[in-house]
Amino acid sequence: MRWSARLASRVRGVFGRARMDAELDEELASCLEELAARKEAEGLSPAEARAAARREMGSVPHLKMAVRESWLVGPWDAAAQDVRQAWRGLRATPGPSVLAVLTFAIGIGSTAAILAVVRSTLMSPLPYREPSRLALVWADLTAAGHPRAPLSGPELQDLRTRTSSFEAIAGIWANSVTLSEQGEPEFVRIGLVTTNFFDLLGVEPAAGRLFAPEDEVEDSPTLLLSHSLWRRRFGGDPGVVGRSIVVNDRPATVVGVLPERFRLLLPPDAGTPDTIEAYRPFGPGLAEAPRGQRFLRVLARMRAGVALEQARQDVDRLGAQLTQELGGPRATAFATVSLEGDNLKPVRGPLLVVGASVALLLVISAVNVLGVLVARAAARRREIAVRVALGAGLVRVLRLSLAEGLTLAALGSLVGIAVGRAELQALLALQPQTLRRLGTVSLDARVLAWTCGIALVWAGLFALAPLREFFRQDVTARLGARGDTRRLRPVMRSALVVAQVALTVVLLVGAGLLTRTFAKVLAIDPGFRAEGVLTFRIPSATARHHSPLARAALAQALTERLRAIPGVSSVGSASHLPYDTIPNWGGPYSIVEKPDEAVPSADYRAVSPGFFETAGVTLVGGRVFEDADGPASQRVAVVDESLAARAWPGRSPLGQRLRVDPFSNGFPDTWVTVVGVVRHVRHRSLLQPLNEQVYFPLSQTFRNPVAYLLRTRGDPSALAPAVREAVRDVEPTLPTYETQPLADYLDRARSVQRFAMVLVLAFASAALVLAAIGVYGVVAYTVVQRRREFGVRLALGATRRQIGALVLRDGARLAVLGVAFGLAGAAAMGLLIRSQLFGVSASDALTYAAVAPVLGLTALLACWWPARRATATDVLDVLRAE
Amino acid sequence: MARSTELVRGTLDLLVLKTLELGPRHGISVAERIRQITSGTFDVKPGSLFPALHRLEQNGDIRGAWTQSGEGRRVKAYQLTAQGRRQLAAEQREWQRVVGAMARVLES
Repeated sequence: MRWSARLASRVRGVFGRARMDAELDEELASCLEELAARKEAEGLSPAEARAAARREMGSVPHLKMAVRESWLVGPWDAAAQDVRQAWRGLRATPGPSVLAVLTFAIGIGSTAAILAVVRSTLMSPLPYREPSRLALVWADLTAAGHPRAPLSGPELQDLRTRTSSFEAIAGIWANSVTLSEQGEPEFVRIGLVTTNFFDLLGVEPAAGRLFAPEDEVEDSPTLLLSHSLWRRRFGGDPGVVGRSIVVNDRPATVVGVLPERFRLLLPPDAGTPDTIEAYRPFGPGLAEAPRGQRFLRVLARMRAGVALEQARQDVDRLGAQLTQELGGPRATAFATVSLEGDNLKPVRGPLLVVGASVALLLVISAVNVLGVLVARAAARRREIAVRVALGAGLVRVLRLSLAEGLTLAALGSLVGIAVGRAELQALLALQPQTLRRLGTVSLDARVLAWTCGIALVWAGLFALAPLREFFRQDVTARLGARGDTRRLRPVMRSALVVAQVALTVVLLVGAGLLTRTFAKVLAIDPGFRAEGVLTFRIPSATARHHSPLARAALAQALTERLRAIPGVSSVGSASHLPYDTIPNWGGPYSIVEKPDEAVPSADYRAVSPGFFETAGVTLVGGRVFEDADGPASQRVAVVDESLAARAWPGRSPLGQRLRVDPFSNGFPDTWVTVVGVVRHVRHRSLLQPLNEQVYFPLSQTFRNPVAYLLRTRGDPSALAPAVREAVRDVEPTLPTYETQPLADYLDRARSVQRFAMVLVLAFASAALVLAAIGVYGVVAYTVVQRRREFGVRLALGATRRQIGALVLRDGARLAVLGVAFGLAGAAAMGLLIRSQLFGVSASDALTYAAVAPVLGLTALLACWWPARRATATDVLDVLRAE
Repeated sequence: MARSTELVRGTLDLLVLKTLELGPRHGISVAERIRQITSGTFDVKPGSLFPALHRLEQNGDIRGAWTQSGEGRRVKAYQLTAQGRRQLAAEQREWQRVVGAMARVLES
């Protein structure tokens, strides 16, 4: 017989039972006849022959049993039998079984989802060649308030020629350009890179080639497209390689397309958004640019075998040499960090907290399932006793319960994968900014394998549930046991429920602390009012508006046209929006002619006269910009109150002169007159202290792109079509992009805290429901067991209210014990979570005080129904049963 | 103990396979044939014969099919499969080896 036929016969052996039984009956009957016929042939009467044949056949039921046993030949058949039996057992109590499956599904599903996130963000390597050899080199300007500043062209050159630890060093700077070939002009984020940038990362082009050293020519007319831009704008046409397209009104040749899975994953403060859709090379003059012009985010690939610490010493040595050679007021210092570690830093904390809470939820769900199984075992005490009395060994009993646990775990995992998938979708919708790698998250094979592993471990644990029943001595007592209430008190289950309540308290306290943190973050005054403001961007580096006067005229016309939109109360424009992905702009400032020591740094912003009113930035003194502050008039500036307080303590800043560097020459070379003071704005980070701020008139500087802000009383998003139309009216070739409410930017700044809060809150809620189910289960069970006792009590004169109180007291005892243990556990958890808190102490009394009643109330609610059932005990019914 | 039952079971399996070597037979006929050949030394009762037949069928050594008996009754007749033939040959060799060994022990 071929293996397939054998398999078929096995399958028949397992599932085709009824048919095989019928056939066996038929075979035995025919044999009986055959025997009888032979006896008759030997000379017996038909009746005698039949009787003799029967005698010879022996006991038919016994015979059939022996034959059936032979059908189960391998361990697989025995296992299948176990599973069948387990399935029957679970189906016999559908309520608890479904509950157990769902509970398990919630635990395993959530775990799978978070596991997928943790794996793709914390554990999978960056998608570059040998990512552990990649480092970031920053300029350390801590004295000026910038521990991680970009490098200048000459510094990059020095790193390349005067260190020995690196195989290659590359730089990138994000900018924006207008593509006006084919269809509507479109504004895209572009990365200017040194030509070795992609070779350094180990990227292979999807089409064409990467940049080569010969692309480093004046006006760099070559271009690399991201896969998404290639798809969207050129329909994925491979013929676009080698073609010339119009970028910022000039021709540029497309040399290649980046692969679909390429993602630029630099830390958020590198100012390189993952929305960059094209790259072009820097021109040849990079090494000759002013030393103070810092814009390069520098990536370096360490030579094989060079440790980060070695590379760091190498770079620091160069810094010391440069300090000596260059003299001057400022020391040159670098900060060398691993790209991998740097990327992980902001996400590790929140993810660990979320991971820990999902682990707690998993334990809670497993404890709940274990509770259900222990209860089943207790209910089946007699059945197990019978099995043991009939000689079933420990192995047999264990095997059956293992089969039950496995069946539960398998069903739970199946449902759980669906749950996990849904959770992952919801989680991706939260879009935490710092979890940029979430885009690649999926429930892949490895995550599923881990999940199955966890399920298997739990199934093994579940198998131990009836052990207690097995080792309970005195089989006869068990067989005879009826209603001995003392013995039937479910100690084990109660312990499980207490554990469950305690773990839930820990989760609830965590969720409470994170919620309070988020509330504090929400309460932070960012220094501007985001509600009711719509923003969008336009490019300002177009050929048609190249002169400062033409740009000023365009700005004027646009502002007037936008203000004419019904519902718009004010219009402003700015070089940056809070929490956007435009690289930060900043530089030194000084109040003396020749600064002789380390000068402080400020963040620079260029804004229009209407900006402060539209963004809701409060004017503290002096005036805001006016239309009269034009390209040709006196250079003016507005500073924030912190700069004013530091530069001119005790004096009025108005009319004072400030030396700044708006053209990024590397040193404060331009005098401006301070005309106004505004509130400090938390424009780059809500939580971290920021630099002082200097505002310039947009008309006196050049920034590309420019963002417009419109304040309205209604829903700002509703203005979008009118905005598009208004811009087209003024200048049809001008693309608008990133049209979104200012509040969205603010939301993004809070996304990490919201991410942690929403997830932990969700897990805590699930845990609360599970705990309620757990308490309900135990109390309902004891009510059934104590029916007789209640009946007797009622008969002896107890009131129904007293009976109800008796039951509630049972539940309350579990809840109080659980809460007590839980609060102690929460104190330990507070240490873990502390780094994720803001404005709230890890031992925040309010949170602790709020959690206890929430659980107490939930527990009481869970007891309510069983208590009602207890008070409804029918006395006569119970006594009659005696 | 387990070893000796194993031996008995194996012996019965070998007897059944050998009986079926020349052609298909139904259960009673198998028992009859064994009794005949061994002159009644082995009287296989249905209580052990049928489990053995079904076990061999599950193993794929024999295959059962419903046919007409000589007297026109419907019976389930078993026949050797190719695997059963190989099995028979192997068990025969093994048996010879055991018997030879036993003989040498007893003669020494």
